[in-house]
Amino acid sequence: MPEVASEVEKALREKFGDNIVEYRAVLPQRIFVKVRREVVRQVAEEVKRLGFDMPVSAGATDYPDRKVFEAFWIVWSSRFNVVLVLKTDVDREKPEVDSLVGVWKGAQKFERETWELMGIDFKGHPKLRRLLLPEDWDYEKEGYPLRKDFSLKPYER
Amino acid sequence: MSEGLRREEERVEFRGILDRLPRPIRRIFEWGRSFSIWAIHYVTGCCSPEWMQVFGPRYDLERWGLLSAPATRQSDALYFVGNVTRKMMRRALRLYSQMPEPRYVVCVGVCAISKGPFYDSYSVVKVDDYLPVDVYIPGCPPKPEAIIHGTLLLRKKILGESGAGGGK
Repeated sequence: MPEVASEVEKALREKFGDNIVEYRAVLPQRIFVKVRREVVRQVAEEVKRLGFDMPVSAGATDYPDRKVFEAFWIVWSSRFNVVLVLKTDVDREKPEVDSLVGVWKGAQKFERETWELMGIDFKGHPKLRRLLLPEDWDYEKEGYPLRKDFSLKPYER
Repeated sequence: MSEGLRREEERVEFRGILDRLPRPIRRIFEWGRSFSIWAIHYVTGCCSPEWMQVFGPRYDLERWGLLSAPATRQSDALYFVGNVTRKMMRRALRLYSQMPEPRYVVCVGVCAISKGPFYDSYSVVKVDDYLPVDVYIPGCPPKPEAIIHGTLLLRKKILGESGAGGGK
């Protein structure tokens, strides 16, 4: 469905202009949108209004050389059968980004997991509590396990 | 690791009672126990399809008296099937402490034995570090025949426990 990809691009570029850093439709049904961190909430609302109603996944990737975490939300449109990946760069020193739970309720667990394992603070998330790690996990001593600078050496045996 | 339980002190009490019995009665006890191993199946990983097969019509481990019993107070053995994380190990220790003596621990699959492909994982642990393991069943996953063989080894161990013959 090429027309969906181009229409979404038109709508987003019209509304947000330079805040859309990158827009790629690698396939007719796969859209990648990279936006600036400040507008991620507004873009998400607009994307939802365009018909992307189901959150498939969310998470983050660590890029130590660029000193950023790339947080992403994957959403699917049940109307067009198109997947959209919404990405944004989060500063590695001060990892904060707006939570999108208010837009897609289903992103709650994914963001909670990312907060726990990657250490990204999702502003406005209703329930940032320990989910997967053991109760005695000490962030001061052990760190965040999905970051690239996390060493697995002490656990090797 | 400090939570690990040591085997010797725990077995002493049970052995004391057993040793006071006459030898033929001891043998009867062991024989009875060896043919009705009720096991908690702590199935946490992908060895579980093999575990299901073992109780299916083709292999049917119940022929040898092993019954999957999800009741800690009535169980004899704790089977670790699959990888065990630090968080799950706490729960497993709790189960183990609820089981009555004599109790046995069996590791099914390479993850439970030595962390397997997760050898450098921050979360997966070796069962060996926490609990006294009686039988190791290697494989990734072990075939149903291997699980049966391991159970028969466990039975042999029970039969020969107090040195009252058997186990040969």
